[in-house]
Amino acid sequence: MSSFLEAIGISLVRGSANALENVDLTVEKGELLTILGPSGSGKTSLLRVLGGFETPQRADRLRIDGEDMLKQPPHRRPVATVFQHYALFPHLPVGANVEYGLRVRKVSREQRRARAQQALALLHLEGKYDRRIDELSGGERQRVAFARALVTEPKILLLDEPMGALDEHLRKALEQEIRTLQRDLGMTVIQVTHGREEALSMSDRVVVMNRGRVVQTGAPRDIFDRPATKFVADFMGLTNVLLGSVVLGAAPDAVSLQTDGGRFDGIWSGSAPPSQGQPAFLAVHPERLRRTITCSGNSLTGRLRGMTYAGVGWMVDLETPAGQISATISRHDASEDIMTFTWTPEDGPIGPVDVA
Amino acid sequence: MTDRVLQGVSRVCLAGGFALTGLIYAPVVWLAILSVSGDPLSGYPGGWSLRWYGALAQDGSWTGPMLRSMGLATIVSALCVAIALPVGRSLPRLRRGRSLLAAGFLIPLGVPGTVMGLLLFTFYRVVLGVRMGNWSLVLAHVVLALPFALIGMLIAVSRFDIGLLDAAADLGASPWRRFLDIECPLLMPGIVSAALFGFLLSFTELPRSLFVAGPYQTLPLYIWAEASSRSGHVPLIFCLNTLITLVSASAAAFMVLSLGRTGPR
Amino acid sequence: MQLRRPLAAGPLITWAVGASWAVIVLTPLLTGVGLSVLRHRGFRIVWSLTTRNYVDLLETGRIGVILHTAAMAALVSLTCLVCGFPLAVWLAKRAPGWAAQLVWMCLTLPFFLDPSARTLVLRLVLGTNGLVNGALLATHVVVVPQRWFLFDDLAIWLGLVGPYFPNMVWPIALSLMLIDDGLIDASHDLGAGQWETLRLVLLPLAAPGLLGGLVMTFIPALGDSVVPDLLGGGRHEYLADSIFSLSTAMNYAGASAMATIVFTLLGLSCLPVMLLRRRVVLRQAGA
Repeated sequence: MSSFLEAIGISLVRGSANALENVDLTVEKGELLTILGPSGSGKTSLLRVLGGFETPQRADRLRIDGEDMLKQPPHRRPVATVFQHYALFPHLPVGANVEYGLRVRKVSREQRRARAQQALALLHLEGKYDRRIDELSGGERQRVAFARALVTEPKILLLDEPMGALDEHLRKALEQEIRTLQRDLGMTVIQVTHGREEALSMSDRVVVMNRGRVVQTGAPRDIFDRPATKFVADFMGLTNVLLGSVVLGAAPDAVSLQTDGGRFDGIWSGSAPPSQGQPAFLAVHPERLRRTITCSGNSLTGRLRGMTYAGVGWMVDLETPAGQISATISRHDASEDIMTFTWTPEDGPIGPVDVA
Repeated sequence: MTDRVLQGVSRVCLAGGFALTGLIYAPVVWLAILSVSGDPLSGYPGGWSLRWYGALAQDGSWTGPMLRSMGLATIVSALCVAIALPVGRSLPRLRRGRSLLAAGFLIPLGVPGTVMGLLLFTFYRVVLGVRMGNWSLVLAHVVLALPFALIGMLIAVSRFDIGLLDAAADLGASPWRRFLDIECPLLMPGIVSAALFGFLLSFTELPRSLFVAGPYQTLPLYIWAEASSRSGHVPLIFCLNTLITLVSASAAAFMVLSLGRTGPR
Repeated sequence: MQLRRPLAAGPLITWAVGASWAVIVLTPLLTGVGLSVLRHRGFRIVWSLTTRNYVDLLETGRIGVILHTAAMAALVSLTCLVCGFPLAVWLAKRAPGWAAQLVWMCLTLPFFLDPSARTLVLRLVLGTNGLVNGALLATHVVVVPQRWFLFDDLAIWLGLVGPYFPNMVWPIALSLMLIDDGLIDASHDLGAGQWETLRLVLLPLAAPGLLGGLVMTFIPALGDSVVPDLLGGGRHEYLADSIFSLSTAMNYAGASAMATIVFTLLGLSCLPVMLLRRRVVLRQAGA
C-alpha cells in the first residue's frame, strides 16, 4: 500500500555540502505533517525538492497520489506553497494575486472571481479584493498567501515557515485557524518550521531533521516523550540531560542509566535496541520534575545556584552530584537552598548519545 | 567648531549646486526666449514674433537629418531594450564571470566620445575597409547608450525579488507566463529607462557621429554645422532646438515620474 | 539561497552577447593601441613597427593638448564634485518629496539636450555685446565690453560644468539613497559630529557613487567636441579638435597614438583610486 506522498532516498548536494542525505518522507492523505529542525537542517531544501524548485542529485522515488513527480517542473506539480515571506506579487491587487493560479489555468473571469472571493471569505478577508498588497498588514498578507495557494485546490499544501514573520499572538490565532481549515477541507499539509511549539500543537505527525538527515519521525507526543537522540531531546527543550551508561532492566525498554551521581530508571527511546554499558543520556523536562522530601525512586538533591522569575513560578538551577539541573517551582521559602526533585521513569527517556 | 565650519561650507556648496543646476537651464530658457524675438542674434530679446518659426517651417533642409535621427534613435532604443533586458536579468544570476562581463559592458563609459568615434572609425573603415553608413551610426550609438540602459536595468533587477518567480511557478505558470506576468511588469522601470536612454542619447549624440556618419547627416551634426558656420541660419536653430527641447523635456519628465513611482522614494 | 530555475537560456544569451560585444566594441579599442605603433600611408597600413607617431605628438605639442584638456576636465569634475555632493546629500536625505522629484527631473533633462544648442547660447550671452557685458556696462562695473569672457578657458569651463553636472549628482545620490538612514542616526547617536559622520559613514559608503560620478564627468568632459569648438575660439586646442584634425589629415596612426596616451593617463589616474579603495577596505577591516 503506497502513501499519498512518497519521497524515498532523496539526496541533494549544494556546493560541497550535503543539503539532504538519503531522506525518506511519506505523507498520508489528509495529514498535517510538520518538518521540524534548526536552520540549516535541510528542512526547507526538502520542501523545495517537493515543490520542484530543487532537483535532487539522487532520488529513488518521488510520487504524489501515485504519479511520478521527478521529471515535472514546478508549474506542473499538484502542490501549492505558502512561502516564508509570502512572495505576493507586489504589482497586482489582492484579488489578482489570489486568482493568479486560476488565470494561468485559463479559468473564466467570472469563475475566477467567484472562487477568489470564496477563498478570501474563508480566510476572513472579505472586502480586501481590490486592495493593494502594500496596504495590508503582515497577518493579512499571510492570509492572502494562504488564499492564493488554496484556490488552486492543490493535492498537497506546502507551508514554508508560515508563521516565521508574525508576532506571538497573531501566530497562535493562525495556528488554530490553519488546523481547523485543514481538518474541514481534508487537506494534506506539509509544514516546515523551527518552532517546536507550533510543531507539537498543530501536527498529526512530526519529522525532526538535523544536518540533512531525518533523525526521528512520530506523533508529537512520541517525539516529546521519547526523543530518539540527544539532539532531539535538546531540540524539544528537555534541558536536563544526564550522561552515563545503560544498565539493562527486566523489560526490553525498561533500562536504567548509571551516572556519577547515581542510577536512574527510565524508558528506552532509541530506535535501535539498547545494549549493556552503552553510552547514553537521560533527559527530563524541567516541568516534569516535582518537589519532594523523600529520596526514593529517581531523585536528585542539589544546592540552589540561581533562580529566575518565570511568571507562573520560578525556574531554579541546582548543582547536583549528577550535574546541573533546572526545575520549576510554584512557591519558595527564601531560607531553603537545598532541594530534592523526583520524576517517574516515564518522564525520563533514555537514549543513545549521538555519534558525532 | 569643525561642525559649524562644515555646515557653512556645505551650505555654500549646496547653493553652488543649485546655481549649477540653474546654469544648465539658463541657456535653454534664454534660447527659447530669443527664438520668439525679432532679432535673436543681437543677443537681446524683444520685438516678439513667431517669424523664425515660420521660416523654420519654410526651410526644408532640417527635415532629412531630423527623420534620420528619429529613425536612428528608434532603432537604438529598441536594440538597447533587446540587449539590456535579457543581459540585465541574467547577469546578476550568473555563477561566475559576473564582474568580468559587467566590466566589459561598462568599459565604453570610460572612453571619451571623440576617442570612441575615432577608434570605431579606424577599426571598421581603415583596418577592415567597410564603408560607414547607417549601421555604423547605430553601432556607435548603441555603444554609448547600452551601458546606461544596462545600469538602469540592473537597478530594476536588483529590486526584483526572485522568489516571486518561484511563487508563480508554484501556482502553475509556465516560464513564459512568469516572464510576461511577473518579470516584465516589475522590470518595467528598467525597460522604460533603457528605451528612453537609448532614444534620447542617440538623438543628441555628436562626437561619435562626427566620425562614423559616413555620407549621412544626423540632426545634431546638422545643428552643429549650422551653428558653427552659416550664421544667417542660426535663428532657425534656436527655434528647432526649442521645439526639440520641449519634446525631450516631456519625455524626461515622463521617465522620472514613471521611475519615481516604483523608485526608492 | 542558491536557486536553480528553468531560465537555462539566460546565462547563455548573456555570454553570447558579451562575446559579441567584446568582438564588435572592445576589439576596436585594442586595435587603436596596436595601430599607434605602426606606419601608415593614408588608408593603407604598413606593417612595420615605429615610435614615429609618438615622437610626432611630442614635436607638434599635442601632448600639451592632452594635458591641458585633462586639466580642464579635472577642474570641471572637481567643481561638479564640490557642488554636487551636498546637492546629492540634500536630494537623497533631506529634500521633501516634491522638491526631490522636481530637482531629479531638472537633472535628468540635460542628458537629452542637443550639445550644440545648449552651448550656442552661451556664445551670445558671453560675447562682447552679450548679456553679461551689457549688465556690467549698465552697472558701470566696466567701461568697455570685455572680450575675455568668451573664446578662452573660462568660457569652456562654464560650458562644460553645466551639462556634466548631473552626471556627478546622479550616481552619488543613488548610492546615498542606498544608505540606511538608521546608520546616520546611529552615528550621531554614538556621539559622532557632522564631520565624523561625513568622513566615517557617508563618504566610505558613497564611495562607489563618488567614483562613478567622477568617471562620468571627467570622461565626457575630456572628449567633448562641441564646447571647445563653439566657445574656445581656437586660442587653446583641445583633445577633440586635435584628434579630429589628425583624422581629417588621414593620420590615423597619430590619432590612435593620442587615444593610446589618453587611455594610459586614464589607467594611471585609476591607480590612486584603487590604492585609496584598498586603504579604505583595510581600515574598515581593521576597525
